[in-house]
Amino acid sequence: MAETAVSGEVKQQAAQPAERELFLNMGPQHPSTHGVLRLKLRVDGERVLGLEPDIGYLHRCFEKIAERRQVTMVIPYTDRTDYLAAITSEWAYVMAAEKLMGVEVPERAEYIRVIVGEMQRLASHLLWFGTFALDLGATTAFLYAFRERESLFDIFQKLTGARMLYNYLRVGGVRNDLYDGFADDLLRFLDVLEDKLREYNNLLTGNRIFETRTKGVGVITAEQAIAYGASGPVLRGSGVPYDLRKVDPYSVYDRFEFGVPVGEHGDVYSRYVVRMQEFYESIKIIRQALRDIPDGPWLGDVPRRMKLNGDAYARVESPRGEVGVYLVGDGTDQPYRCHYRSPCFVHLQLLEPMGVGHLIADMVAIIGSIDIVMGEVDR
Amino acid sequence: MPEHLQPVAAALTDGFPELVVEHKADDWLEVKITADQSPEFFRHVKEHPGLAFDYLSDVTAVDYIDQGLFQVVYHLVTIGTNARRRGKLRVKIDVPRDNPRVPSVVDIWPTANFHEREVYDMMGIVFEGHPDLRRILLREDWVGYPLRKDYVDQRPKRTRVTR
Repeated sequence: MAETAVSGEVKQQAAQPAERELFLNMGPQHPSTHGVLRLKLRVDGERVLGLEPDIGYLHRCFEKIAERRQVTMVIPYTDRTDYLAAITSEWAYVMAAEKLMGVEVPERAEYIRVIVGEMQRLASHLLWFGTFALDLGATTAFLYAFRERESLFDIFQKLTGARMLYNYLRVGGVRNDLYDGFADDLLRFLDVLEDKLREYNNLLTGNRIFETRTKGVGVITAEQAIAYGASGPVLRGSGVPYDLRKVDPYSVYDRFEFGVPVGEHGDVYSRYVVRMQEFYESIKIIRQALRDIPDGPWLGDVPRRMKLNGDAYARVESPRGEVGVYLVGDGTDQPYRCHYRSPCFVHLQLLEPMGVGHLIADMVAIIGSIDIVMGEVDR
Repeated sequence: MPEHLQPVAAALTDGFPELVVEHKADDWLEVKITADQSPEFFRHVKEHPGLAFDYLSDVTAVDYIDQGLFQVVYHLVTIGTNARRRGKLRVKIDVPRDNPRVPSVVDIWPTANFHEREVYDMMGIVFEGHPDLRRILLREDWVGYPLRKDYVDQRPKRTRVTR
C-alpha cells in the first residue's frame, strides 16, 4: 500500500547515494565563507558527503616580497596577513626579528604590546561574534558588534594613526608611546563592553534556535584536534587547555592572572563559548596591565643598521590560534626567508572531518566557528 | 643546554647515536637528520614516551641556493601537562636542489598535509608518500616554483598601455 511504496523509495534512495551525488561549488564569492574561500562540496540533497577547500584566491606573495624588503619594511605586510588581528601578526614577526638580532624590548614596550594585543583580541572576537551570528541569521548582533569595534578603532586611531592596519610594533618595542588619556579612554570602553557582553550573551547563549544549530555540530575530538594541528579556540573547544600565553609565555604574559577557557564537546557551541569567555579574560589582562605599566622607553636599543643572523621561530597566541614566523637571516638587513605559519590555513583541513554528514547550513556554522581570515590563509 | 632538557636530548639520541642536539637561542632544540633517517626518526620522536612530540606546528623549507640545497624545517612541540619540560624541537633535513625528495609525514601527523602541499607548491620539493601532492595556493597550471631563489616569472609579458 502507500506505506510500503514510500519505504521502497526510501530504501532505493539509501542504496544509491552515489547516483544522486551532486557537486556543489560554494564560493569563492559567497556571503558566508568569510572571504575568498572556495569549498568544493559533494552533497546528497543537502547532506554533505565530502568537501575540499580550494584556496589561493588572496595569495599576495607575502613571503617572496619579504625577501626583498628591509626588516622594518616587512611589518606593514604582516599587518595584512591576518588583517583582523594585525597586532598579533606583527608581534610574531618582530619577536622573531628580535631573537635574530639579540635586541631586548624594554618593559614599558612589552606592557604596551600586551595591552594593544589584548585590545586586538577584543576587536577580532567582536567581529567574529557579529559575523557568526549574522551567518546564522541573527542580523542585529552584527551591528552591535561593529558599534563596539568603532570605539576600539577610535582608540587605535588616536594611538597608532590607523583604525585597522596599524604598523605599530617595531623591532625592539613600539613606534610611539601611549597618548595622554589612553588609560581613561580604554577603561571607559572596557566598562561599556562588559555591560554589552551581558546583552550579547543574552542574545545567543541559551537561545533555543542558536543552540540547536550549534550543539553537536562540527564535532572534533581532542585527539583529532591535536593530530590536525588545531590551535587557539578550535583546540581549546575540544577540551585541550593549550594557550601559548600560559604554556610558552612570551613578552610579559607570565605576570598576569587570567584563565584559559576550555570547551567540553568540541562542537561549534563549545568554540563559541570559549571565545565568549575569552572576552572577559582579555579585559582582565588589560586592566592589570594598565594598572602595572611602568614608565620608561617604548623602544629599545636597536642598531641603525639592522643585521639578521641565524634563524628563529616565534609563536604568539592570536585570536585565531598559533601564529608563527620562521625567520632566516643572512647577515644583511633583509630577511633571507620569512615563513608565516597561519592557524587558519591549518584549520581548513579540519573542515572535512567536521562537516561530513552535516547539512550545508551546518557548514556555514562550522566555517564561522573556525573564524577564518583568508588573508592569513593565502598570504 | 638547560638542565630540564637534558633527558629530552638523551631520548632524542636514543637509537640515533650520531645525532647532535643543539639548544638554540630562541629556546628550540635543533637536530639535523637525513631524508633516509626521516621516517624512523619522526616515528621515534612521536612515540618515544620521553619525547611524545604529538603536535606538528609547521613544515617549511628554505632555499640555500649558494650551497646547492633545500632545507626542510619541521617544528614540533608536545601538548600535555609537562609540555614545558619536553622542550620544543626543530628538525632540519637537507636535500639536494637537483632532486629534492623527502618522505612525507602525513601518516604520522595528519596536519602535515596542507603544509607539505604548500612547500611543494612554492619550492618544488616532492614529499614521497603524500596522498594528494598538488598545488595549493597557486593555480593548478602554474609553471615554476616561486619561492626558489632562481625563480623567473614564466608568464608572457603583457603590453602595457599608458594613459
